[in-house]
Amino acid sequence: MTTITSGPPEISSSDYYLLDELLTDEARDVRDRVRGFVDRDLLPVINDYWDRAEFPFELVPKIAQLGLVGSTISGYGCPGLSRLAAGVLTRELARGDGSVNTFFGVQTGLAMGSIALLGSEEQKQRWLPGMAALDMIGAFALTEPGHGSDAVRLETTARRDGDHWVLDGAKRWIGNASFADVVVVWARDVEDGRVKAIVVGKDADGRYPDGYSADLITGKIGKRAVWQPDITLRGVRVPVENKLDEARSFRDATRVLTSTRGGAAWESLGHAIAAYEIALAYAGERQQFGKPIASFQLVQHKLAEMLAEITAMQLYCFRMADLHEQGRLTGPMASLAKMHHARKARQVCLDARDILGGNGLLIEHHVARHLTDMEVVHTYEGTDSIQSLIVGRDLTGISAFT
Amino acid sequence: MTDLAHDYLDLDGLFSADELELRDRVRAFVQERIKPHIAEWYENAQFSREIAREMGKARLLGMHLSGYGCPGRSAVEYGLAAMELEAGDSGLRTFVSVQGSLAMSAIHKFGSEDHKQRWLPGMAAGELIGCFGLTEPGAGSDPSSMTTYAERVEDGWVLHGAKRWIGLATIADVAVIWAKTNEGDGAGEGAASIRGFLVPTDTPGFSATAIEPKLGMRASIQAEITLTDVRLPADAVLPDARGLRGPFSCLNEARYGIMWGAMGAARDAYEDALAYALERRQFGVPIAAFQLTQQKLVDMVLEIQKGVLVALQTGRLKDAGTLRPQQISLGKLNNVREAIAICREARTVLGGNGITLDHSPLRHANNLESVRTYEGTDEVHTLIMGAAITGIPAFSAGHQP
Repeated sequence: MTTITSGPPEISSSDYYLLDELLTDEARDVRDRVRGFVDRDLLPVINDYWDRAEFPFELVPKIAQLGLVGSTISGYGCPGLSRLAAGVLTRELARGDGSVNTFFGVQTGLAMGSIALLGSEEQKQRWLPGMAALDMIGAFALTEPGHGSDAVRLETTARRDGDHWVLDGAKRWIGNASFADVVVVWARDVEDGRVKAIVVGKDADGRYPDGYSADLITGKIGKRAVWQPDITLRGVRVPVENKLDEARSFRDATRVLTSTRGGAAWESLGHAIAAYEIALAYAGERQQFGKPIASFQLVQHKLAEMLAEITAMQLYCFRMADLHEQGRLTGPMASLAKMHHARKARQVCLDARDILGGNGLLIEHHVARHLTDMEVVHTYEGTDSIQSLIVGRDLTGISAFT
Repeated sequence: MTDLAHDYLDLDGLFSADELELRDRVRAFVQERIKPHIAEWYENAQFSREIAREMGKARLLGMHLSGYGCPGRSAVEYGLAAMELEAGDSGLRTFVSVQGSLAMSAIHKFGSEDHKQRWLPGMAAGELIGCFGLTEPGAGSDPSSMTTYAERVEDGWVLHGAKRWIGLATIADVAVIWAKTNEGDGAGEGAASIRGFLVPTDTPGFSATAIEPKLGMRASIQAEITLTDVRLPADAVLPDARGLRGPFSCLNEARYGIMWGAMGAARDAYEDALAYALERRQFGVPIAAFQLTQQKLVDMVLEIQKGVLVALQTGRLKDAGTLRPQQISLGKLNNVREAIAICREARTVLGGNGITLDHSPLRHANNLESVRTYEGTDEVHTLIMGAAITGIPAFSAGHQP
C-alpha cells in the first residue's frame, strides 16, 4: 500500500496519524465523554473564572457526573480505567483547561492515589467512595516553602502524642487545600526520622482542626482558576487512625508521584493540541495582505512543526500507557516523557500564541491561558532539570543531584 | 544584492581608517592567495608551507606582539585579520593562532632575551614554525592532570611524555612543551610545578605524527607528539612561567582571535548562501523570494552582526588593558556556537549543491566543529562563565559550595 491521500484527516485536525484509531472502546468512550463536557460545559465559562482567579465550583457536580473520578483505581466507587483511558482523560481535560485538570489530578492521582496505594482497607472504605463522588475533596501536601525539588528534605514534623499525631510545619502550592475535606500531609516522624503520610480532615461541622490554616497564593499568572494555597500547621492534632498505614518513608511519596508523572506528559499533550487547533483555525480565518495568514510560508512552517511535535507526543503517550499497564514503566521512563512533553508543549503554545498576534494576548482566544498554564506544568511534578537528572542517573548510574 | 546585505548596521563605522585598511589588505590576501586554492587544500588535507612565508611577508604572524620583528598591531587589528583569514578557511586562521597567539606569545611573554632573539624574528617572518604542546591524550579540558614530566638533572632537563592535537607539530622547528617538574610547589604532581620548555624539534627523542584522516580542519595539521628521553640544556626552560597560569594566558590570546575568526567563517557561509539564493530559481522565482529562505538569511545576519559586536567590544577592552579572561569566554562560546549554526543553515539554502566543495558553508561548518572543541569546549566556557557570575566553580562533579 503506497496510497497517500490528500486533504485533512476527518477525525480531528490534530490527530494527523489517525492515532485515535488505536484507542480501545473504553478509551474512546472516555475521550467522547470528556470532550463533550469540555466543549459544552467548561469552555463557555472557564475564561471568566481564570480571569478572576476563582475556582469554578459550578463545574464540580458536572465532573462528578462523568463518573471518572478515581480514574485507574478499582472498586470503592471508582471507574478502574485502563492507563490508556486515564491518559486520554487527562489529555482531553487539559485540552479544555489546565486549572480544572489540576483540580482533577490532585483529587484523583495524588490524594486518592495516596490512599489507594498506601491506605489500609478501612481507610480506603472510609475515604475513597466519597471522594469518587466528589462529595469529599482531596489535597496532597508535600512541597514546602524551602523544599520544592528537594522535597526529600522536608521539615514538617509529626509527633506521636497518645492517640494523636501532632503536626507542625508549612506547606506550599497545595492544590485544593483551602477547602479540601481530606488533606494528605507528608511529615517527618520525630521519633524515627522517617516521612509518613497523615490525613488532616474536617470535623462534623466542616471545620479544620485548630492550628490548620490555608492562605491562597495570589498573583499567579498561570492556572489561575485552581487554588494552590500556602498551608500552616501549628500543633495540629490528628487521630492516629488517620496515618496512612503503608506510608513508611519518603520512598512511598515517590511511588505516588511516579504514577502521576506520566499524567503530566498527557496533560502537556492536551495543552499542545488545544493551542495548535486554535492557531490553525485562526490562521485560516485571519486575513492579511489580502489572504488568510495560513497561506504564508512562515505560518505553515510553524503549524507543521507544531503538528510534528504533537504527533510524536501522542506516540510517546500511547506507548507509555501500554508499558504502564504491563507494569513495565519505570520512574525514569515517565520522567523522560514528562521532561520532553513539557518542553515541547511549551514551545507549541508559544508558536500558537505568536500566530494569533495581538489577539493571542486576549483571554477570549484561550491560547494565552494554555500558554501560561503550560509554564506551571513545566515546573510542577518535577521540573525540567530534575527530570533530566532522574533520567541522567538512570543512564549513567551516577547521581548528579548535588 | 543590496548594501545592507554585507554590513547591516554599518559596523564599519566603528573601526578606524587604519583598522579598515588592514582589514581590506588581509581580505585581498585571502581572496588572492587562499580562496582559489582552498578547496584543493581541503580535499587533499594539505597545508602549504609556502603560505606560511607569504603570511609572514603580509605581516600576519605574531601580529599583536611588539619588537623582535613582530608587527605590533592592536588587538582589534589582530581580530580583524583573524576574521578575514577564517572567511578563507579555519585551518589557515588556526595556523596564525598557533604560530602567533600560542607559540610566539609564549616565548614573548615568558622567554628569556636569548629565546626571543633566537626564535621570534624567524617566526614572525614565517621562516620558522612553532607549535604549542599542552593537551595530552588523557588531559584535554583538564590540563592540570597532564602527565608529561620534565626531570631536572645535573646538566639540564630530561622530558618524557606525550601530547595530542598539537597544531603544526610535524612541520614545526620549535615546540613549546608544558610539563610537570620535580621543582617548585607540588613537585612532580601538582599543577604548580608545571613549566614550559622550548624543544627544537630535531632534538633526539622528539617525534610528531599527523593525526589523520580528519573530517574537518583538513587544511591544517594537528599531530601527536611523543617525548622519549628528550635531553635539553638547563636554559631550555621558559624562565617566567610557573603553573597553569603560563599556558592559560596564551590560550586567552588564541581564544580572543577565535571569536573574530568564527564570525569570518559565518560571514563567508552567509554570503555564499545569499548569492546562491538570489541566483537559484525554483517555482519560477529566485529562492530568495521564499519566506522560509528569507527567514534563514535574516537569522544569519542577526547573529553575525551581534557576534562581530561582541568581538569588537572584547577587542576594545583588550586594547585598553582591562579585559578579564572570563570575559573572553563569552565571545568564544557564543560566536563559535552561532557560527556553526549559521554555516549549517547556509548549507541548507544551497540544497544538494551545498555538499560540494564548490561552496564554502559545509567546509566551514566541519572546520568549526574543531574550533568548538579546541581552546576550551562549550562546556568549559559555560563553566568559566558560570563560576564568574555565581562565584561557585562547578568544574568537578559533586562540588559543594
